[in-house]
Amino acid sequence: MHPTEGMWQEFLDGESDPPVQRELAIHSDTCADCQRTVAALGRRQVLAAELLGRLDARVPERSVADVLSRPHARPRSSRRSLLVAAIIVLSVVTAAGAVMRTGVVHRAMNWLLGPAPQVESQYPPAPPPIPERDSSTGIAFVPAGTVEIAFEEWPHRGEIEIALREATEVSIIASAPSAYSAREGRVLVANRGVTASYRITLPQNVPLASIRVGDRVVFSKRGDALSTQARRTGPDSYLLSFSTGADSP
Amino acid sequence: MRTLRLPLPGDTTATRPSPTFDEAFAALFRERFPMLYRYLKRVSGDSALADDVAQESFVRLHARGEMPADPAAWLVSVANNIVRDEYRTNKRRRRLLALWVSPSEEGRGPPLSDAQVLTHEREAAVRRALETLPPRDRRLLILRHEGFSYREIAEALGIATSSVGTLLARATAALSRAYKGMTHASD
Repeated sequence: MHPTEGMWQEFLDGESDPPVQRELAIHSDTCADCQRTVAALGRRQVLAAELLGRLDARVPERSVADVLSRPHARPRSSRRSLLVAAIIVLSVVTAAGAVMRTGVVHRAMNWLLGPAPQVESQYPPAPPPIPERDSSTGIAFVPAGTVEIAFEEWPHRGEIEIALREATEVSIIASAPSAYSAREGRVLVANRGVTASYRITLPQNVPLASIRVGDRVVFSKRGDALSTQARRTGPDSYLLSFSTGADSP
Repeated sequence: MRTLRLPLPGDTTATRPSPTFDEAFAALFRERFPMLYRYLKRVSGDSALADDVAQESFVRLHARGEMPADPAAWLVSVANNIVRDEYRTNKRRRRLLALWVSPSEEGRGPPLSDAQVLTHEREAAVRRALETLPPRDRRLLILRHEGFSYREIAEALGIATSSVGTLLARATAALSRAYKGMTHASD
């Protein structure tokens, strides 16, 4: 029986209980259907992160003192009276607006009620952010030819498993939330301070691929030629183990 | 960082008295105000509303005088209620404003560069795709995007923690479908 999509979603988000996480990891190694499900979930997750990241959300500078010194919420009755008064004044302005330029009416409206949300289009827009998730445990994408995966630092613990599979996507699945940023075939895994194990699946037919940990290239593939510092654990599977005190595989 | 720091063996901070409410409040504010603001801004698309409601939620927490069991979920839950009330009471005001701000008025101001126009269009497309989702799914996606845990999301939205994964998977698929549908339709 296959785990549900919800279970795989929890797995990707690092929210499954550790025993379940382990069982799912084992299952995903052998089940092609579930590998497809995980890859599809990962793809949608990456797209959703990219889309939501496009929504401008620059945070204004606020301090505890600012917030606590602000007047408490006005009682609802006074808010209502204010609203009624505003509507009455609005009617007067509306009548005047019939014979005046709409710009004047608009400014009057703004003065009375504050700017409407639509006026935000005049804000200087931020450049589109690089898709990044600091709460994600997985990423999957279709490579455009060359793949470069770079881990920010040499981990003190954990493992990196590399598997070459008949797949169309590159996927990285971590055992703990990690931040990823991807651009033009290059994925940076911000693993500084993160203790996690990673499973990287590379399509067998990817022409050029390299995996770098810190400043060392630990795996590279050029056509069918492989060069790696990782231990071979099976046909097309390689493993790098890290432990405190041993900074090389 | 979302979780409180746990004392390690030999850690001298373990013997210090627990922080006062004001210290805990200040720490929570630094950690959570930006997340709460971004959540509200992304849900509503209204920066003034997001700022006002995020501040109001913290004011209410301070007035409470003690930390709830799950402060992050409590803040989101309070913020959602304030937004709901705000929309109810100001429904008419918003409708009037929407009628009054004509497209020609909106377009006034300094002319936008091509890059700015593109950014606006990209943001508007995402917002349109989000608006096809039920409000709960929209909140769910944005809370998760902001880094809230499943437990916090469940608590804030009043759903079972065990349902969060399934609902998230569906909401993510729905957003992806809606966005692709829109971009294909506009091709």
